[in-house]
Amino acid sequence: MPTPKPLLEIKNLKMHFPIKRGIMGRTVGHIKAVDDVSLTIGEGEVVGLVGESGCGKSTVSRCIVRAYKPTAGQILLYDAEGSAVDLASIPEPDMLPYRRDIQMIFQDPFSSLNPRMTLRQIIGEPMRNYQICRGKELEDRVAHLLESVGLRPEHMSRYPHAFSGGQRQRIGIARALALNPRLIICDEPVSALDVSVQAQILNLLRDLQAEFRYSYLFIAHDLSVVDYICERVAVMYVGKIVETADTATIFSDPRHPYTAALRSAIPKLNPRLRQLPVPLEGDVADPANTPSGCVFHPRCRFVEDRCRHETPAMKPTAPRHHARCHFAGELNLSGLSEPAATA
Amino acid sequence: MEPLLEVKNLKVHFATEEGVIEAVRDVSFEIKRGETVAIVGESGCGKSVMARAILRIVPAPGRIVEGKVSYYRDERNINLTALEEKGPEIRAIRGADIAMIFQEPMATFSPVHTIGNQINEAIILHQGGDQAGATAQTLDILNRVGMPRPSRIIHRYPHQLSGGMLQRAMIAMALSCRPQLLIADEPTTALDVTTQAQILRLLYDLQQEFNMAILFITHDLSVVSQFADRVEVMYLGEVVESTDVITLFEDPKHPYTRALLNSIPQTGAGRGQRLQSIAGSIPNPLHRPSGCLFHPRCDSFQPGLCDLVSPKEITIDRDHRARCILYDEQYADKVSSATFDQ
Repeated sequence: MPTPKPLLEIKNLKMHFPIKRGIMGRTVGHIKAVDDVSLTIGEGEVVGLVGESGCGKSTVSRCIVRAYKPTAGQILLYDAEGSAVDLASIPEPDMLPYRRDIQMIFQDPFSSLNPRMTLRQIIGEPMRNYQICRGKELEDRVAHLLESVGLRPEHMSRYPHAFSGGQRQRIGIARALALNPRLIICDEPVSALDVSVQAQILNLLRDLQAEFRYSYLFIAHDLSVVDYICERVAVMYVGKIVETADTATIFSDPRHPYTAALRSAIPKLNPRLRQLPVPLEGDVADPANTPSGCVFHPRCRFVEDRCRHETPAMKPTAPRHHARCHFAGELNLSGLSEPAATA
Repeated sequence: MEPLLEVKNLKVHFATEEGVIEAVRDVSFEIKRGETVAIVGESGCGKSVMARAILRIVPAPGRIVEGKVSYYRDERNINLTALEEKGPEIRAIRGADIAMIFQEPMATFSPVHTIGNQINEAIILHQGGDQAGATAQTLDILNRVGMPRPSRIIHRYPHQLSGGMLQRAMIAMALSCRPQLLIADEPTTALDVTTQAQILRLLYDLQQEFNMAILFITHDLSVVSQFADRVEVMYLGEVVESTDVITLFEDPKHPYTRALLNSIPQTGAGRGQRLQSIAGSIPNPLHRPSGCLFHPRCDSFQPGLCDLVSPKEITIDRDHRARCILYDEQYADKVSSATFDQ
């Protein structure tokens, strides 16, 4: 697979939140929500970002849209000619022209839509803000967008409460598409939906991508969903990306013990393959008080002395495959990813 | 195996201002001793209300309007639905014989009492004894659920524990009186996959140790496949299919069960293929479809039949029942034969 032209390049992104105590608001420490994350999203590429709650995946997305001002690092957005602008450092008012290139779809279809606005207002607002069109033309655009996400244009004057969870998620998608963005950040877009509706939304996101070649940054904790929609996956653990690879290889041939453990934690959909493996003991590390050396070492079953002192760097293990582990490529993870039946 | 709990024709209605919601309409099933029964369904199918009805903790304005829940204890058969809702009999059973764990452990514990005090309270309430004895039992049960450093945890407040730890504490509290039946309402839904794996393993091990039955309520079929002995699939307040777990995954009969199974993305399988989704969305419980409740979304829909006739529960095999007219001999000549091969 050829590497596509980059659209967004995140370089050494850091987002540290200060912990303040006492009436003077003294800074007593930092929560390292994102600590040295580098990730490239190509034109028309669907990249998954997976990890457990609190690993910093949503913080990454908020840094990209500059809801947070990153502590350090670069977020380079390339235009069609290949010149880049650094979204991490430009002043807030200068963000405006770039915001329309990057849109978001949120997890909760109930709180992400204003209950006092009709669909016409919700979906039309971005286009009005950028003075793209108005009046009848705006209405036609909204109708067209509603159709493209599988809703009926005649429902345009209804309010969000009249719609089910899946339909609301479609409204959120229509709003994200309104400005014809280049990158769509999907932050857990299906995890609040019922199984039967989840499949509809996943199919819709895929069809839209196939038709318009949007780039997606797809954030999820559900590996099977990521496997279904993404071409490439980055696995995050406590603020750091621990492994990136093509979707097909990351699940069949993981090189980081954490990825292998995540994979084997997914219950199999086959009652004859009964196994209740416990791939990882303990809890996710506290990002305010990260372990020394490799952040994963307290839960890793292959831990050695070196892991406790030395922070591993991201290193290539195969073409387009990188892992942040001292022993990447040397460990036999097959026992972890396909555990023997136990129960 | 002897039966432990038998639910018969249970109906729970909610009288709201807009009308009566039939949250549970005519549900019957049985749990044997030491068995794991899973109730599977999507949001609004009535699975949680049904579970609460067993313990008589249906939130207002919900009301059990009909049906019987028989609980077998010491050769005796107690009809839980006939007991007084706040009376001493049901309170002696609730938490002791039948315990429940919830999706949100944060909402289960009181935020202003320590974990230790709350588990002690349950033990003293049901078994008597003093604080010292109860504390010893609490430490023991916390140890069994794999809680690190129980002697420190008992002095902690709920907000000081992580989600997975709190889930363990809740399981410990539920098991503190050695229940015969544990009702687990989406116990792993709010957890990450690795924590979910820990909790499922823990429940499995404790079940073996205590020989208790588990009523497992979930929307996640992959968890069901790994955990359940029997499965009841619910849709809009009705059980639409009921069978053992192997048959459910290998030979599902009801179109809803089949569609649910097909709509789940799986790692490695079918990458690049479209998921088969179920058309439409779950109907508003106030506006139930006529005839079969699933007919507007069903891909085996028979016009003039499914939208008119309420399907009966059809026995397919000894322990396998489905609520669908495709299997009803009464209509066999009217159903187009092509639909069976889907």
